[in-house]
Amino acid sequence: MRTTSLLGLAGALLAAAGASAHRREDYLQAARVGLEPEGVLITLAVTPGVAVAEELIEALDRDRDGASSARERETFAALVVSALRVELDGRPLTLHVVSSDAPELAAFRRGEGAFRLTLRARVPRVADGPHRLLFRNAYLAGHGAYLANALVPESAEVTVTAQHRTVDQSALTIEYTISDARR
Amino acid sequence: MIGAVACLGVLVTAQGASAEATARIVAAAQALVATLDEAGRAKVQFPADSPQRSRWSNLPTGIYERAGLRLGDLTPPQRAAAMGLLEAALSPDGYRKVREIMHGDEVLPGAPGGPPGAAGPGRGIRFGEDEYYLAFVGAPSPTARWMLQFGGHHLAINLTLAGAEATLAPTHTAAQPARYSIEGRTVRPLGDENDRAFALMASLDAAQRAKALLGYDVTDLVLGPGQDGRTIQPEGLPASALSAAQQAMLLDLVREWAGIAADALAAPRMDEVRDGLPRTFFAWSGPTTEGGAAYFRIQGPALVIEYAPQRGVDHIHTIYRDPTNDYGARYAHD
Repeated sequence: MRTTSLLGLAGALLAAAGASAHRREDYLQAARVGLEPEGVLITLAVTPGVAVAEELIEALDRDRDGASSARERETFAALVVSALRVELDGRPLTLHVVSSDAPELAAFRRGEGAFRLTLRARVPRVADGPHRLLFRNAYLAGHGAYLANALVPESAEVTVTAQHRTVDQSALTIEYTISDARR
Repeated sequence: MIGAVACLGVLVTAQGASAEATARIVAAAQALVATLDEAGRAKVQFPADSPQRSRWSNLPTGIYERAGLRLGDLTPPQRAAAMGLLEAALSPDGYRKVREIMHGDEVLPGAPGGPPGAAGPGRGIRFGEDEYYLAFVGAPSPTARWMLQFGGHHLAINLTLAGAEATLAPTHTAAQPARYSIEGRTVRPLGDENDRAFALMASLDAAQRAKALLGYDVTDLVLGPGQDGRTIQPEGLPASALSAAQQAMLLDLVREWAGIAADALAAPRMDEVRDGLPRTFFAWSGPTTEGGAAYFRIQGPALVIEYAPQRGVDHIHTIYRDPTNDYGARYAHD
């Protein structure tokens, strides 16, 4: 029974892998960075390819009960966050997990599951003028396919002036200005 | 005064053409419904406030489960009515594109780089023209908002109609294989998108090209499935820095997506895109010579288009969005 199910799983993985030649052996890590006058809000979606989904599941479902508990998601989120670095004008910021969300584990195996994190770093209101925010993602370095983009700021006080990335997008530097919109 | 009256006349005529197109689509939808039994009608129709509105994916059946009428479950007359509805809703070129994407999924299992085995049921993950689904979100109406959804592997048409107004956003087109043959004829479902983009890139001078090139790799869509409601900071070459001829090339490129809808519905949308040109950007990542696998993005105040090769030229994903009107958000008050 176990052999049959493993063969079935292997077959499904093979089919899924070829299915669309969609992502297979790397982890798509898509970060969106929202700048605010008093900090930064980052969303990060980690989507493993079908061939590496079990690695992520092992790291997430630590008690092997076939589901991710809130505690397990919290632990996994901390693991990911430990590999992130955010600096504002050269000063490191501390990221706090606002929320973490995981689909049923089977979705990872199908190649459509994403572990989603929302992270925030708060600072006293940033002074008017130009600033630089660095976001660096070293989670699963070497196995990551990275996307990193600044979102259009929701606050009229924030204007993005430039974005600079490493070639693989594992690091993004956003140049922006703060100005009091009331003036 | 005469000019103003003439402009108003053109507007009224355009709105009339759009409303007529919507009425034709509604008639085709009703013709399809008339061929269905009660179970079929229950499958195709979703309430106007259903989360089905934003349920779509690039993935094949078996990895992603769709709802609605499955083409493979229809009788020949029902299937003909379903395709007739698509033909009414789409332009000739849009309909051609959809058919070629669907047929590409039929040949994918035997194609280089495709999945092992033959298409068809029984393998868990299924490919082929039978695996496309059609649904209505909201009752088809010539005046009230409703949505026609049609999708499967590598395709998600989300056409929201509200009388004389319509939007295709968000719509996903993709192709694998990106080139195949039927009876000796070469088919490239997204070939025009590729060729027009490379032609525009080739028309740029060194300074324009330097601004368009992103300088980093983009390996996937940034605003693909599941990325509703996000607006990224535009990058690249502003369309205001293009010559008139290059701007025309850019608009022709945009038309490859906006023009999937019936001509009368696409025309006002193209006017909107044209009006937004001063705040539109064109960005490129990858080789600049024809034949390479290059990513590009067109982003304006009411437009996002991305074209993202998936590790090679034979597997392409694209997305078309309107951050101001995805799923017809502007018509929600109707």
